[in-house]
Amino acid sequence: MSSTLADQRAEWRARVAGIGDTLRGESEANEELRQLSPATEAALRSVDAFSLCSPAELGGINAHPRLQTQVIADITAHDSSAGWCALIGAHESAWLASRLPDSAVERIFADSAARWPVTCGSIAPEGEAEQVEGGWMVTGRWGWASGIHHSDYVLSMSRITGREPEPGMPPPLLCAAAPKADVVVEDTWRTLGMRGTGSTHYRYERVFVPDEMCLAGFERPPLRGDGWLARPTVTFLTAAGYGFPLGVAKRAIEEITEQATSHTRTGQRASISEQQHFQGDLGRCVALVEAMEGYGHHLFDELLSAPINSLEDAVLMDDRARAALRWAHQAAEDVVRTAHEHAGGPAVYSDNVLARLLRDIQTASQHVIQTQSAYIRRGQHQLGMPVRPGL
Amino acid sequence: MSRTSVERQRERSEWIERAESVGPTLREFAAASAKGKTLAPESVAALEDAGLFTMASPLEVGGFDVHPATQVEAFEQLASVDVSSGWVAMIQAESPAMAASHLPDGIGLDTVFGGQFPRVAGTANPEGVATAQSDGRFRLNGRWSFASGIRHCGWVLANAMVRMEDGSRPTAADELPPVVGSLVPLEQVEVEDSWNVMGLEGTGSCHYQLHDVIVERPFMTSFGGVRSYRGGPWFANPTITFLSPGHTGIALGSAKRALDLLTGDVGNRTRFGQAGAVADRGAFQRDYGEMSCRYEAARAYALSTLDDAMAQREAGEPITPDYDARIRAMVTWVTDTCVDVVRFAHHHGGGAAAFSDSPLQQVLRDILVASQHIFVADVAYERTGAFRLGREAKGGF
Repeated sequence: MSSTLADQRAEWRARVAGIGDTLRGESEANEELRQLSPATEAALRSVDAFSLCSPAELGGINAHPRLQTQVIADITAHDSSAGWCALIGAHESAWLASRLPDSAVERIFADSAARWPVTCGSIAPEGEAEQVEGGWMVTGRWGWASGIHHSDYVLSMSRITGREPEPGMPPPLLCAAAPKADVVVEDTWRTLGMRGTGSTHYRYERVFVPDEMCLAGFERPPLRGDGWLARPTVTFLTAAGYGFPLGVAKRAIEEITEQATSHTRTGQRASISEQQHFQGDLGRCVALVEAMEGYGHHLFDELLSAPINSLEDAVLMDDRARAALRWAHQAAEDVVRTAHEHAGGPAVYSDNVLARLLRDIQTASQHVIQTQSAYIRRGQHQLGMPVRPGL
Repeated sequence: MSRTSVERQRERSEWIERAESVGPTLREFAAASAKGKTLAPESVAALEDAGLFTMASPLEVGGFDVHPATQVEAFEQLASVDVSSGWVAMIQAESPAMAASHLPDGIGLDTVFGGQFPRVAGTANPEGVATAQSDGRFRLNGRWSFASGIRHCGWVLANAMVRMEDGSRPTAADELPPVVGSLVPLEQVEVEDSWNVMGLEGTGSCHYQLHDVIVERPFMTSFGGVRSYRGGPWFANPTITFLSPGHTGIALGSAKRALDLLTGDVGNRTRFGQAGAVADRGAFQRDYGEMSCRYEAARAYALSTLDDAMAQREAGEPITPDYDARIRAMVTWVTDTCVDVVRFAHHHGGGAAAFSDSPLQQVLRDILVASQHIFVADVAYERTGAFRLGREAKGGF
């Protein structure tokens, strides 16, 4: 890696640009397959996208949060599904790499230079884990396993059989990681948007997971990796996550700029681009995207160095980051809707990029991390109310 | 010369501290300013004593030429206490800066800036006429609007269209600019009592008139095609861009004040017929969280844009039309966002916000007036969109 952040940003901008044609060319194939095409997966692997957030000790990039935002935004601008799978794979691999004990990571990452072990899975506590000799027997069904078809490991979160929660505390949970070969992959991913992500359901059917591949709960400090990796978990997820809506919004502006120049709507004498009201809406959207970039820049710099002296500090940081992510998705929805509305008839067809972006951002905005509760919790902090850990 | 990061941080701390130091006075006299339709003398004195009128002016005339992003934060701080005070501070920091950078060396500059740092008001819009006399002097006539702070200033900077004695426009042979600015002592100005408005009452932004006022060229700007005779890299900007930190800071300060008011008494109130306090409602918490984010986003957008712009000026990069459009779109978007934040806050103010002395109503009225300023009009978006499409923006600003 180059030494300065500016150098790294330039290097990664060029790196992602190098796979841009492939990513754009495979968008329809991703949608038809309802998962990333082999060529898309290969392109992402070729630029080390899945190791973006992982500790350097294991060959990861452990990128500065602003670089994470940029890389995911650039990939997403080429293809939303590729961008989403890149950020999920990068996050979950990093979480595994930074939290599992040495014996596990030495095995999992032994061959990472040749093939980075991509991880996916859900953290919703939908399964049951029973303690057995040397590990856990896990059974359950989970959804939202973006990228499961090209993943090597699949995470799960389960309640622990026979263990009651302490008074006033959430139930004890077990996070387990199993090789994908041990997991049953369902075919349920039929959706409005994000079709190429393959975020289908999966099942563990009494899968034995050794102790070294299990962790109690999810919120725990990293054993390796520093900087952004050592921030609270939700905060950690937001920098790359912020790149997704940013990339969608940038692509929408690119598309409408092009379509507006080439298209004249029925009954109009001049192209869309010559309509002054369109120019005004486009200018507002350009400003909005610049605001997204400025906010991400300032917020992630601030959160990277902000002191955390208490649980309250960590909760506040997570909720600030989540609320910003929520706002970025709303902003992207605004940009995409505006662009789509101006595009007119051509944008009603499924293969129109603006139609796809509209479907994608509406679908992605349903993700639990950026729901309205992000704003509610942020508001509670601002109003000086007590806010418990959680989403 | 560029500031080091340490110098930048020191400057930022100093000017925010200066702005904070006058807060108690501005707060105490805000109502008196609004009632008197001009800033209270105590508030003017506090701003002046803290050196805030010198913030934007060139070093050569005793100013501090403060970084534009720091200007934003200082104006924001002032407006977050009283929007009218922040507005007057902005105008009376920017007007002398414009005069100081545009006046040529000579008796005009020496007279205006030779003693105590001057209080200057004025308007950018060339609403009057400067008639070129045969003796080389100019005769000013006209009526100007929006002269914030004029009642306590010493000089007025009046822009005017140049005309010849027969009323015609000057030709190339006359070697005169189409528009000139003139520094006129307040004693020669007729100030109207016209500032009867819904908001920003305390700014005293009255109309004024000049009747056959004779001005000599050393007291006039715009000759020789020189953008600025003195000042640092920020002075290379077109006028509206140069002035962008002020409007940005005022909008942000208004939004900050509205959000601050909600965390206090307003949020703790229980509205008629409701079981719990406003702050206990989930919908209110959600909207408050969203508006807090939008305010933060606007602030970050402003600071990062002006950081970038200043870096470009310090590097001596050319000023392109899209650079100018980008900054103006930022100021407009920040203002639009802050209007939304203040409207939200007022919406939750309930019955108490219906009364004219409600602080929430005051800040709503203030920002609704501030957002009518031509510099933050949404034509900025059209220009940005046109440039993005590779098209010529329509004329004017």
